[in-house]
Amino acid sequence: MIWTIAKKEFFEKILDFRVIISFVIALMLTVVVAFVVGEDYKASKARYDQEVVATENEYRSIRVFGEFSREVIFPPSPLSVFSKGSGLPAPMSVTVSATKVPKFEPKIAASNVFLRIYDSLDLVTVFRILFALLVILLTFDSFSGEKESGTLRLVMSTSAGRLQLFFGKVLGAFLVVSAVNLATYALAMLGVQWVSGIAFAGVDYLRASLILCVTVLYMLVFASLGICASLLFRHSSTSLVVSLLVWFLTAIVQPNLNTFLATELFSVPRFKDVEPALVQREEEVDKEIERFEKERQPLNKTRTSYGSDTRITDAEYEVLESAIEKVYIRKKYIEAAEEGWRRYQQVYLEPLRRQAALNFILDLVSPAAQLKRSVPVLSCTDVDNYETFFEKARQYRSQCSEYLNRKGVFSTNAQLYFSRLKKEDINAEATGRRMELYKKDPSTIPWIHQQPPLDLSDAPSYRVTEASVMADTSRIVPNVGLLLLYSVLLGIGAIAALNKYDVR
Amino acid sequence: MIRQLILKEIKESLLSVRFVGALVFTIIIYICGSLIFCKKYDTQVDDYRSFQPKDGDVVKVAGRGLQAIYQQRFPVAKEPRLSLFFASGNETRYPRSVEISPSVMGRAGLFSASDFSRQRQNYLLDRYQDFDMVFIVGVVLSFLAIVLAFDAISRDREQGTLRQQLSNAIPRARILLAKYIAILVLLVASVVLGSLCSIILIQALLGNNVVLMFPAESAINVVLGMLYLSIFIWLALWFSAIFSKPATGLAVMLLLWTFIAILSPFVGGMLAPRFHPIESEEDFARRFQMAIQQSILKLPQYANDVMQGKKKEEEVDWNVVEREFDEAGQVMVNYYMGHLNELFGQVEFAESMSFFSPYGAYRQAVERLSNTGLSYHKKFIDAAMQYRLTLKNFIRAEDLRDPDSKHRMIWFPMLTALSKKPVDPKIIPMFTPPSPHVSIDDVQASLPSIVYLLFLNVVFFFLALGTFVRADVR
Repeated sequence: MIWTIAKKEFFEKILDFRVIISFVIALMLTVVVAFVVGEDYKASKARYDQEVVATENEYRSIRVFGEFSREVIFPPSPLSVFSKGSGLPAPMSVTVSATKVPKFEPKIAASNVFLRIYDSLDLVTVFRILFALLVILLTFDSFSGEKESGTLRLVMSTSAGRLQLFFGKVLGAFLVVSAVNLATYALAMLGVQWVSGIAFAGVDYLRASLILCVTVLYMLVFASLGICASLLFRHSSTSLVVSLLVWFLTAIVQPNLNTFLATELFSVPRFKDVEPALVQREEEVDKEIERFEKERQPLNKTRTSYGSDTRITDAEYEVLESAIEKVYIRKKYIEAAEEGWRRYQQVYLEPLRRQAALNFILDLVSPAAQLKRSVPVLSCTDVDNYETFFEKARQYRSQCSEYLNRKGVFSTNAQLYFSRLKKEDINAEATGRRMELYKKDPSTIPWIHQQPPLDLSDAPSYRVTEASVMADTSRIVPNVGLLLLYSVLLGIGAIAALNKYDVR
Repeated sequence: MIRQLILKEIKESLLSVRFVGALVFTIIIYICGSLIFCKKYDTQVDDYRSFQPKDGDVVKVAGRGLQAIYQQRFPVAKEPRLSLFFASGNETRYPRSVEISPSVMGRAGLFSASDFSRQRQNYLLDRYQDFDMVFIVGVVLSFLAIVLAFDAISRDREQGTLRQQLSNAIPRARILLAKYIAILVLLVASVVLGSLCSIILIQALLGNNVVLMFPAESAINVVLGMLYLSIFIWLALWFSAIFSKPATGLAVMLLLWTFIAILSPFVGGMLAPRFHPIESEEDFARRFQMAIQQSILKLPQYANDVMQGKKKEEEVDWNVVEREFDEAGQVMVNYYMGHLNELFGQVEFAESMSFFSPYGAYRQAVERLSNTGLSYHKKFIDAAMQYRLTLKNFIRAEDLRDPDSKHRMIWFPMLTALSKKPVDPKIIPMFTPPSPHVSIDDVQASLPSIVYLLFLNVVFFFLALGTFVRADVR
């Protein structure tokens, strides 16, 4: 009986004129949005491919270890069609080098900074606002409409129980919502592939299916709301108005209000107020370097400081002394960068995270917020994805530091930081003219530029790793759970109202 | 007769749950919006004050003489303004400060590194929309206007009372007009009550009366708001006349409203990069850098010789050097201002794309007439550039009084030679931000939006009238 009622509901709704018109309009908008966002992705991908080639060429042209640094790039996600997520730019590149810890920093925008006043539209926004409205328009008169037209009495005079009728309508609404979603998503993905030429991988289809499921669940909340309202209020118009007010508050007002409240209830410090603490160690290092230069004793010309008693020549002495000084400076700045990063986390990032946590708590009562949080996770466009990228860049930096240490550029082979020459070569080349060049800056030794690039085949490599679907799915379990909870609570309310419902 | 009809409509609605609910909701939204605004205003004032140069810093710079002042960077910022309550103008998204320097010619002497609007930004959170009057009237009240008016005709038709009304000798146009005026009066009452709550709240929390400080802007905003809401009333009456079932009319009306009030703001941003493409910031930075290098290459050789110690200072005609440096600097200023105008042009194109939606036209009109948004930002940039010139003129005039100075105001640091005698910090010109009040130019610029809103009112009035006159009331 439930299935019979569900089928009847499904065909009635699907063939309803207002539903067809609304659906067609919403579909057209979806296709347009998908096309525009798809083109954005194509442009981002092209930029990403260019940057990868450029950074790879730069990396392969490193000639001395002092130049050792690498740009690592966060790729754009093809699923950004569904959700632009955090709005952070992609591709995003960050420099991995000894003296700088990779972290998020605003860079020169690729596009017009003044155009940021316009929010970006993506499919999840269309679903969050427009499709939720459509679902309410489908279900607000599930019971009150039938009561007004007199058909409810006829249905109740059959053997169909109230609960069967209720679940039949819910199932019918679920089928309509699923069909609408599936059609829209399929068209959006086809449109994006066909028009923008984006190629989705197998895992992308899996993620899109999960996004589809979450969206169906979201729309089910509003279907439950519509059915509940139609049971609570006698007139269809009243149930529609009430449902719409709730939709307006939850889909439009609440997400904005929650973010605002989070920023105002728990304010973060101004960056310029915390900046002195972040650069304090660097300034201390500057003073240490000054003291070092004033106080340092010149190397004993008959002994090295590298633990051996080998005699060194004047030329070697000049180069090595300069190398020791500069490497010492470099090591100090590396320590300062790491200290700065620790302080950045404590003094600046920690308040930002607490503000985000407060926003998370406020979002617990908003179905729209659950959708807004879960779809970017599945689309790999949420902030945590970027944070993971920065963490991997920091791990890569640690690997590179270990590599440089193994090469001895901070100790026994300090001259390699600035020069291609081994210690014995320096002595052989130490003529009068070249001495002048060494004294100024060992890295200006002319023959460095005639050398081929360094062989870095034993250096650690950076690989772009894909986020795990399982891990991302487990991250959105709380959001999905909340959406289910809202539906269940509204369903319980509807059942309670149905038991007392006067069908006359 | 029409007065009786209006009174009847008002009485019916006043006692309805719908209107009471809408009124309560309006007042709550106004109160929330005001509280939000007061909190943000306090934060802005706090940030603005901390951004201002400290007296000690100014004294220090002045103590080092005109040469130090010439090479100093001066922060200038937009003052927090109460008129932002009408339309925040996306104030939090536009830069709110720049640094100017009398000497530096790169980027036209404007720096944006220290923009204090970004100081408290949290990249972990989504952006949010401000709850200013544009949002309250443009989104919330337009929604309520639909809720109040969507069944004005179809309900009476369903209940049979419309037939009875028309069986009297009352022209249909009068009935329609009476319904329109009744709903408008109810909306005005809601807006007035809500606005009163806001004014009282802002007065209590900030100690300032928005209406007294901005009387013209307040009056204009109320009138514009009514003009905008009136469009939705006519739209709702039109659909109510077309569709016999109120719910169907409401459904279609809401879809339209979603496009107009919610989705249309996105349109401009989506279309502008496609139909009005401009150079990316990276390409501009590259091109600008090349232009700077070329300008430097063209610098007079004798100046280079002095910098490298090959020639003595007395051998150079510094007037010529100063003139040539000024010309090279002006080329770079023109470069940067040209790019800035391109950026503005793209935003204006985006605005024109959004203009065709009533919400877009309303927002643009309110921003112009409240002196916020892009138009105010442009005035701010002009004021910053003007301040830079004022500082330069001040330095030049003061420098002439020092007989020991070489009077060389050249933007290349190694060639600058101005007075190093301490200057009284009190005579250094201060930055004057642009006036927050609306000007004649602003009014003229907003006329197209106002005319468009009026035009929409007329169109939807005739559509509603035409449909209602021919509608079957059975």
